[in-house]
Amino acid sequence: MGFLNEQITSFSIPEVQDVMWQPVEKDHLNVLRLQWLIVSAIFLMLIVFLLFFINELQYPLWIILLTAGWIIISWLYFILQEKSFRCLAYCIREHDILYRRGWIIQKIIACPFNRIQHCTVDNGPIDRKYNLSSLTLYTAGADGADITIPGLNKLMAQRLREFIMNKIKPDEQPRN
Amino acid sequence: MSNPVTDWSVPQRQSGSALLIIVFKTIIEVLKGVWPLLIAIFFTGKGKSSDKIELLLIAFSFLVLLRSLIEFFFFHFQIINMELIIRKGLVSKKTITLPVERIITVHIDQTWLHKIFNVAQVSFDSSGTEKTEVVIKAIPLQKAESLRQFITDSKPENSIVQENTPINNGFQPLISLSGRDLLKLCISANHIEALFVLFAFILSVVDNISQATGKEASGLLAWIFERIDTRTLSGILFLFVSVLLFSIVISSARILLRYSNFSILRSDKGFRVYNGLINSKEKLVPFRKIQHLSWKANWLQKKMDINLLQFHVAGSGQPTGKMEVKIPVTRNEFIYALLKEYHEPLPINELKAIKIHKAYINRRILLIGLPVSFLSFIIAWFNIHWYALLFFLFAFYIAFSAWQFQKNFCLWAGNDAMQIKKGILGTEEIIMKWHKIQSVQLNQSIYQRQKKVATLKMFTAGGSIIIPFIQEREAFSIYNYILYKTESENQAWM
Repeated sequence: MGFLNEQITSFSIPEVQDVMWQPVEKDHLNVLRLQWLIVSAIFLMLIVFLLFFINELQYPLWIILLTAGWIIISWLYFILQEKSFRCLAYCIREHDILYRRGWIIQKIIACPFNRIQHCTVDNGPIDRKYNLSSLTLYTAGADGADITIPGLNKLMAQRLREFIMNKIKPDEQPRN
Repeated sequence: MSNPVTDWSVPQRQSGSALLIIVFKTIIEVLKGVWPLLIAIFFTGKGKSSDKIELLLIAFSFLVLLRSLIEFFFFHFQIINMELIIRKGLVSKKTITLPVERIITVHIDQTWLHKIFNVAQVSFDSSGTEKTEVVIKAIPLQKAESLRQFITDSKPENSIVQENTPINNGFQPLISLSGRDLLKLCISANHIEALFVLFAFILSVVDNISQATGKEASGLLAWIFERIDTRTLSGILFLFVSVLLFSIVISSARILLRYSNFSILRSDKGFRVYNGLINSKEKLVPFRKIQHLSWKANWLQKKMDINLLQFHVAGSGQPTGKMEVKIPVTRNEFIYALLKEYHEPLPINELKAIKIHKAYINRRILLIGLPVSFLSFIIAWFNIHWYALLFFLFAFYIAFSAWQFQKNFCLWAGNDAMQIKKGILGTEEIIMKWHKIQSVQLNQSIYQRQKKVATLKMFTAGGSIIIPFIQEREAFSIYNYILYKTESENQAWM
């Protein structure tokens, strides 16, 4: 048998650029804001603790520097989070799942169903308050190839997990 | 050769010599942990506190030896109903059950200690990417081979393999290294890396001794520098040549220890890689477990036609790197012989090469070269003033390396595989079948979106491959094609 190696012709292949992205639940923004509030409060408490207990820091210059640093970092964190939220979206296709995230560095991650090993649905205490869950898809890929989609409605996440588990049933897994 | 047939359904214990091996390993482990303390006792002489330390050491060693005895006497393995069952432990009992059909490879390793007693360590890889945790520390070599044969024969897909493969239990020799090849490898080894490893080791030893004895242990270095006048050219040359010779000796010794007795055998199912002078290692690489292949050469190795080929097998992306299989290739035809089982090299002259965008160079200079140089300049300015400007040479180095990388990088996308060639002074080539990919990621920073370029990251079970700063259109084409290939063709990735 001769060796065949034809060049790629991409015109008949479905394109990821054309998909309709499904944004995550709007309540997820509240979860992110609450997380931001908690993290910022912890940092503020840390700064107050430092200023209170370390005598060398009890000068106006240090107080201004640390407070200004906290305000700038917290503000940047807030802005980035708000912008990033607008990019959070996913798309379920017949054979794969796509996930888009990030504003400064936008990432589009695709995972074919026939490569998923298993998937889990998780929710933390803040997620539970808003009836939200995260769906994590595990593949055999190395270096962080797994995908976590946050901000899904709890019922939707369960349904998605069932849908994916049905797609990856062992009898559909090909063998050599 | 007449082996007595072993009934694997009966619980088997490790060889008696395993006890000695476990005890020896325990002693080594204890010594590794407490050697600075021992040096401290040796240097500080016997005092009240050192007596206590000695007692503690004896008690600790006794406990660890007791643990070894338990590890030996409470370890059994057997194969029942096509399942390998290992029971171990006294207080916390553990039973490991591994279905024989899930075992992909059986490794047989021999250290020098194993060789003395003619025993071997047997370990098993199962499907998926979990690390090897099923290990039998020492059983007679013949029994180890018989166990491997039993497992191979028990797997339904392998039951018809054993004919027309006359040499070495179905394996045929493919590559071995001659003395000349070893010499070439010694000359072209990365001596700078060996030098850094050596320096790091000396520094850690000096540091450990100083901490343990409470005294300055840098006397040896001071003694050396007192005798070498580093202000004269001859002194500097002497120091340079001595360090160079020393690192060549060290890296050559590493090469000889690692690659003596090196050979690769091939069967219908995979490769068997055998190497090691004192500690013999044998690794099995089933063809289906190979995710992608890469071969690279530094500048000197390129001139000498030497390459280091790596099988990126499922699981080798784990941080431990235990599953990594690297092979020195001293002739180009060997590369083709090894690639043949995976995928032949692409006809690169007939395919369009995808190149990295020039924006990559600017980005490397702006994000790495200039910030690092500028910060180093500011920090060093207070001590060495205008000499601190030398740190800007780093920015030039980054610019040069980015320019070389951008110039040399080529990607060829074939129908069922892709090939990459890259490198700065040396070269690295990668070949990967599309259907081995687990997931794919397309990254675009704000700058990349403006320049209409993107970075592609492809994940396989053997590691990931990054293609930085290619045209957005090409990146999306490859992205879509990967999904098309992995989803439309019913090919198993392992």
